[in-house]
Amino acid sequence: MEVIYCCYAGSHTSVTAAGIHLGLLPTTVRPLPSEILSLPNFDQGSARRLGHVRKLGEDEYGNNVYVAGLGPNRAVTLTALRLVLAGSHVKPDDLCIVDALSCISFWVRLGGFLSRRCGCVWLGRPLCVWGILARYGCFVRLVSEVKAICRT
Amino acid sequence: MATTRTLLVHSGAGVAALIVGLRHLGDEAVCTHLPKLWPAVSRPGRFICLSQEGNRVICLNSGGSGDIAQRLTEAAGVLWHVTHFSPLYVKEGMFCRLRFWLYLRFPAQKWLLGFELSQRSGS
Repeated sequence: MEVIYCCYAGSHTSVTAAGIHLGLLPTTVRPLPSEILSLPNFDQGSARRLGHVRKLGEDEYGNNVYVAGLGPNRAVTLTALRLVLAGSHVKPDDLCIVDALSCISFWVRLGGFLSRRCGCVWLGRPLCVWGILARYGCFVRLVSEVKAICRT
Repeated sequence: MATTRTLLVHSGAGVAALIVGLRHLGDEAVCTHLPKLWPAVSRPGRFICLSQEGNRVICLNSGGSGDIAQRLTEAAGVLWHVTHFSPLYVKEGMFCRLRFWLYLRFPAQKWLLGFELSQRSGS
């Protein structure tokens, strides 16, 4: 199965959800800020170059886990992504597109804007981590629901 | 796995995408078909599949996210090895939506779509 976690820039919420999915972050306790910061591609990439998809790894069931940054108009970019995948070897039933923005908080939005758009990394990055930790339970629930689908 | 060559052509208002999708037809035929097909792509995210000389052409209205959609489809094509799929972002002239709205009311004024029609050969 192909699991794609999507968000605005593909650098905060989707990376966190994918990190939990791949076992890079714990599910029973809240991780340390350093664990979130050490996630691959966390808070990387420019907000001015949105629209990318990359593979983060493979989970314990053999599912490929990806992150995608879809930009502000997700309905359009998601349609474009689905059209490409419709022409690929991926069967529609083997595709799981997850909106990781359902777990976003104001602080992650603000932090992401400051870090990626304004280049104020020293302030934006800690705000993102703080916002993610504040809603960490939501991320764990989201990933557990996705994993339940992947297992079946 | 689909093997038909597919071209995903998209533009900000969907007009230029449709014109490229109908590029195998002459100007007259394009101008005749446009008003009938445009409702299918009138809003961002909507698309229509056309057949063009044995190939499949998907015309998508990408709204203001044309650049993002282009990068995303190119990246996805590489990642999932979709070799028979080519995305193409066609830029539209100024006030394309307004010009097309006027064209729908005055179909004889084909010059209103002059810029988009002239792009067909280069696309």
